[in-house]
Amino acid sequence: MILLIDKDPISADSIGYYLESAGYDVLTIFDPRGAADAIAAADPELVILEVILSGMNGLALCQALKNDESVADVPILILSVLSAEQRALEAGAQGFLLKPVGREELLTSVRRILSGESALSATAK
Amino acid sequence: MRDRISTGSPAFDSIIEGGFPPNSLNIIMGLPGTGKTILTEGLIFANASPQEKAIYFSTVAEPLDKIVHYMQGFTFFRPEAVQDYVIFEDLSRVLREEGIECTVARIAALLREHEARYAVIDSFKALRSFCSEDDFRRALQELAAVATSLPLTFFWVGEYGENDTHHLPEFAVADSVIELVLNKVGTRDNRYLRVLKMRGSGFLGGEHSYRISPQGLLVFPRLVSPMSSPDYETLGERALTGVEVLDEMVAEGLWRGSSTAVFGPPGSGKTLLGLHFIFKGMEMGEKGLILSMQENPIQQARIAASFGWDIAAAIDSGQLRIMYVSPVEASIDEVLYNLTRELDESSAQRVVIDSLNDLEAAAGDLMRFHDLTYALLQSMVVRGVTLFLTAEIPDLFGTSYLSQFGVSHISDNVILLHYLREESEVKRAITVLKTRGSQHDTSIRQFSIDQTGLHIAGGFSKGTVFAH
Repeated sequence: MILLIDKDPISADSIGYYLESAGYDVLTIFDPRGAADAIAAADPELVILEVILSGMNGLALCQALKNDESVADVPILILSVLSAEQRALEAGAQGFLLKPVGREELLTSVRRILSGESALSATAK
Repeated sequence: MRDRISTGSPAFDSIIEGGFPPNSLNIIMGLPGTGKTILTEGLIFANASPQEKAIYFSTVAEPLDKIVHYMQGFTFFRPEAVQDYVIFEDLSRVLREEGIECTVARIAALLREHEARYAVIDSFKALRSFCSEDDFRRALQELAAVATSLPLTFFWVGEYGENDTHHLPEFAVADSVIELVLNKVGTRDNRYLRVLKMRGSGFLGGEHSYRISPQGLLVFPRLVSPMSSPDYETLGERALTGVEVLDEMVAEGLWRGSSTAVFGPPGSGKTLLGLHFIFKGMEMGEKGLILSMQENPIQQARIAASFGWDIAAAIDSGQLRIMYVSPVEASIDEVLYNLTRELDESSAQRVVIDSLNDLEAAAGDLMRFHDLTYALLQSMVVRGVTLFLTAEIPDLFGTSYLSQFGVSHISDNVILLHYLREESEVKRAITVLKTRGSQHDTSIRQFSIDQTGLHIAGGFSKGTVFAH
């Protein structure tokens, strides 16, 4: 199961559609304040996180999740309209994609992260 | 009292006395594509800091993702500030699913939570589509009250037209209203902004040209006739033209600080006369500035070199600056704004503008051209700059109508270069038509052009008959 944290239902629907078409279960939340609890409860294989969240910075959330022992092992893919790959790396994310993203590009990154690889570009690494 | 809130553009700031009043409520209006979002984004990035946060609320006119995507192309955009002290908040979901009342509550909550000092609602006008007019007015009142209770400078962006300003309640509430306009003139898009209202504060009225660049909005305040500075005195010195006989014709040279319009048909020697004027000035220790909308720098250098003048050396020595502006692309406000800046930076004492025809084309509007030309001449006077303007007239032979630019009556001196036909020969002639505050030779003099420049000979012999 993949947990998607975004601010925009329409954008989240598109991402959810691509993931579900590849056989993943998707849970979407729009209030990032409940992220840690949602992760602990849902135990996702992967978290996909936007930087521009309602009232919150997704990079700061990423860092906070990585600092929380109870959820730190869950890999995070930052998927954002903001060009922030280097900052995603510094925040502890395993991957970064710039919106808008196509189906194949998204699924390739998801598969790489779930198989334990990084989905950051060579320059970011 | 807090300082004014900068727009992010020093030129725009100068139009509104240094910026927006702090803690004000301001409407930025204009049709789609005029740059409203760019203006407000530039403003919040220019002002926001970790101590003074800004919130950009997007409603339903444009998806927030698209706004952020395009803003990243501007140099004012600071990605490290995003969601730290420049916070983007998408109101579309709460607006669609919960309505205007909850949206206002959400706005108020976030303003207080982040202690925002700057906030933008874009588009404010779009909020109307989600409720009745009564509910909208209630929401408007509540938002205005929230804004008043906080140390907040608020910007409401909307695709309003001028008619809206007369009856929509948000315009009564707003402390200031800025309009951005995009007009098509010929093949060009002319953009200008106007201050329609600024409560409790002065502003420079009228239309101010701007364009959109990677730096955001580049604003060119319209040139206004300056008030004379308290220590302004009429300069009592003469500026030699570089053509000896012409100096005699105008009683030992033009007055320093005067303006001279040189009219003539194509190829009559106007540009050459301007070069004489500039290079003579440099010889006398006066820096020069040429605004050319006719010849590009390479063509200028070639023309000058053919008469023995080295433009490149003059530029390298700091004695000369050349501005070349394409007459097709220029807006007159941008040209004159950049001209006055170059003038002040270079401390040039002699300026040649070649030509008035191109400035008129750049104005796109005859009244605007006349107003700005008057302001230009006055600006030169108070700076003590001696100005040469060239103007092409269409008639090759015969008497011409010189008032088409409205300049001959406002410039101090008027010189006419013309062709005269004597039997089967075409001769060049020069006439000084006007010199304000000075005597001048009224005779028509013959002149020639050779590899050393322009040379004036004597008058024509009595009885010479000219054909028209």
